[in-house]
Amino acid sequence: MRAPHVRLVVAVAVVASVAGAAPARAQGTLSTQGFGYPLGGLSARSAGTGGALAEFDHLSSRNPAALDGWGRSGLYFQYDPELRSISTASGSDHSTIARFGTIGAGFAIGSRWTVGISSHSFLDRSWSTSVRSGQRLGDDSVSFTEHFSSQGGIGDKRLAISYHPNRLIAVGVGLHLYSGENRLNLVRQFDDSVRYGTLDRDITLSYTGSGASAGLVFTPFARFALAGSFRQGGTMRLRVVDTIRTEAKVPSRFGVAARLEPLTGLTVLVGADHNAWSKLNGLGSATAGARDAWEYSVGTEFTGQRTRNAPWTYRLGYRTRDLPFSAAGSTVTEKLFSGGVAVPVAGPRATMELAVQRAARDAATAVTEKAWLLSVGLSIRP
Amino acid sequence: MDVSLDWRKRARGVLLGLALGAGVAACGEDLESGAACPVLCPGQNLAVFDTTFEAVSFDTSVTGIPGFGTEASMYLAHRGDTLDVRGVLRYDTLPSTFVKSSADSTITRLDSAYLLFQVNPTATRVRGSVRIDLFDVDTTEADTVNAVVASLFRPDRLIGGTTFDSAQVKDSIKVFLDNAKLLAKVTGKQRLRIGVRATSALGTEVDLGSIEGGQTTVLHFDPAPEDTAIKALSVTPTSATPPNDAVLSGDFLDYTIVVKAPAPPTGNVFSVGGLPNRRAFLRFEVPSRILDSSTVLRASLIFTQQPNRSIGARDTMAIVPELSLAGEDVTDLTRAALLLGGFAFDTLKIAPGDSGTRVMEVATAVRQWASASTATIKQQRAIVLRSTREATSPFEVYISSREAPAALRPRLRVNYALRSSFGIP
Repeated sequence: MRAPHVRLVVAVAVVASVAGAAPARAQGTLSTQGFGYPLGGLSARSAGTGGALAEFDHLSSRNPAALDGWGRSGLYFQYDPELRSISTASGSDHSTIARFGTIGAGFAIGSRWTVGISSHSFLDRSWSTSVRSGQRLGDDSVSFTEHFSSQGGIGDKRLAISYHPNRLIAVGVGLHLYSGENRLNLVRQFDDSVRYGTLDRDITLSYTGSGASAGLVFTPFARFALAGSFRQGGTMRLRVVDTIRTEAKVPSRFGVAARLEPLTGLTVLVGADHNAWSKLNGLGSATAGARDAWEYSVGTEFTGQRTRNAPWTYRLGYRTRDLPFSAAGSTVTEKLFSGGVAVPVAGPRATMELAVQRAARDAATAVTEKAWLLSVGLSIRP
Repeated sequence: MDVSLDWRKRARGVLLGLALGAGVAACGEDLESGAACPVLCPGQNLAVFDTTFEAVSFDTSVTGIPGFGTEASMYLAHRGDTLDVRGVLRYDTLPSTFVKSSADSTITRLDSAYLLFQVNPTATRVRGSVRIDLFDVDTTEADTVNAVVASLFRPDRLIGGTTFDSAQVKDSIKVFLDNAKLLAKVTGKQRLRIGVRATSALGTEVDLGSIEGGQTTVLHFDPAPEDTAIKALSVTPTSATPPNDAVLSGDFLDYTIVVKAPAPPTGNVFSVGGLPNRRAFLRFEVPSRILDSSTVLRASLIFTQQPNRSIGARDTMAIVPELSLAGEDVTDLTRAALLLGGFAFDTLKIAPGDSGTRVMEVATAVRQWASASTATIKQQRAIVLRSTREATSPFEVYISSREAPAALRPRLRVNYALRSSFGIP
């Protein structure tokens, strides 16, 4: 009674599980839409000033000319947890994200050259959601709970060198390697798990990209400085296993900042930064379109008491920007108030950098998002 | 004392503590943010394919399960001239002495001889009264042949019996033996092989205990009726034949014989249940695009029931699917239908006399085939359908086989999602 072959009797039908759904729009937050939340390559000291210090900061990833700030060789580690709350009319959720945002090292070569290597978080895509929904399976409409989570992000690894021929000017160039992955898990559990099988899938999206940057710090006067930097993005590729699925460009960016020291120990900073996030378009689906965005920041730094001949530095700042990826079609804006302190823990050789940012994110949706972004950094310069 | 220095030390300690505390508090990630759903997370748009095809490459009814003498109970049935199921018990070793005053005494008289049966109420159906007769079925002929044993259930071999009202047939029942006939066996050192038959004018089913079911039927008799201090003897079944084969002789301790039952189905039909019991064995061929490259969300076995109005046409029986765990090199279908693994199954309750399309959910089985497709030892992709009352019910469901007309053949309907990429923003 063996059959020679299997006979197909009914044509295959394709049924979309949820009408109108877009690919991977299940982030559940305003900040982690698209490829994730951009941390901006800020160190804790820059974060404390609202990002206005970033163009002058050797611990941030923006301006390679600022590497001169290492002074002598050293190491830096930074931990960036975020405590996020999302509110809607029907309730709220509180989530905690742990990130090791920055690792860096600087090597002084002679008195005019500095080489720096660093790794910064570029886009963080860590979230998890659970939703109730339904779909048609066979002749029945069935309900399910879908748990969807993503962990990981894209990092920005930079190798840079700076040179300051005199006290007026410092220049620098850097090479950037962008790499990382999103580890996604989707579990669709039907209410009747006897009759319907559970969908449980894992996938890892891998990213690689490149870029180059150049920067300048110009100090025409002892109490006044200007800085600017530019990054040109190379090709960014998205792979699933070893197959390249999509390609786009790493966003180019440029930024400028000014630093004024009206009083000894008091510094005022302003900055503007532009990211051409739209270069990423094509890496994801059409619904994950990124928009170019400006960031404006203002901050201040002032020194206080000294411990073992090393000053404490206090910082305040404010930053506003648009996030690159829209939420439900609306642009997400972010406003951050920040403060920070640099605490010398072993004289000038080791400094603990602390910063806290209060972020309010908003879009033209029924969802609001607030977050505490903490940054704890340790700089060691033996 | 330098007050300012003390303040700085305190401040540094506080800041260090705060930083450390915040870091520790944030170490345990909690990413859940479903409150913003469905505004920001409407769900994943996964394409689900729905396909129905003739996946059954082989189907048949398998008999011999449970095997001879391994029944979990001794099911007796009598329905006019359509059904007659009887049981046999062997007491090949009977005691010829009893202990009196610490010494063995030969049994010369006996009284109160009876068999104590346990009753399984689930499969017992008695209306009015039922008569349970005991026959001497010992013979020098080949009593491994059912027909030979069945022929010994005749009046001249009647050695006992008791009539019960329906209300009495519960928990346990005593069926009395003729004391003189038992004494003759004892004194003659003969073996006692008892045939058990239930009869009733209204038809009856009596499900009695068996050794395999943990309910041994024990023979009791009083070897010294004149001495109330002597307790009754209890004798458990023994079988002296076949010699030197403990397993086979064990099967003969108690067993069931089907003397009369409806004929098995013919034509393009296989069946589940009935007496002797039958299991349906269905082997499947499922395309690799479903097993290897997708996630099966739902799988339904669709088959066509044909009416069987021989017995219990309007009664209900339950059918469950089970997964055959046999490897591809197991060609003995009975073994393949015995090596089963339960899965999250769907129980189907149907009346044998009904007809029409029936659906049974078998998603778990298909997913098991998918997960086992890369195993070194290839597992048969087969499902066994069996009755929940195997060997204790005459009900039998007829199912159109894959050789029936196209519209009646068993089919598999599968809803599956391809393992395509997801999560790309």
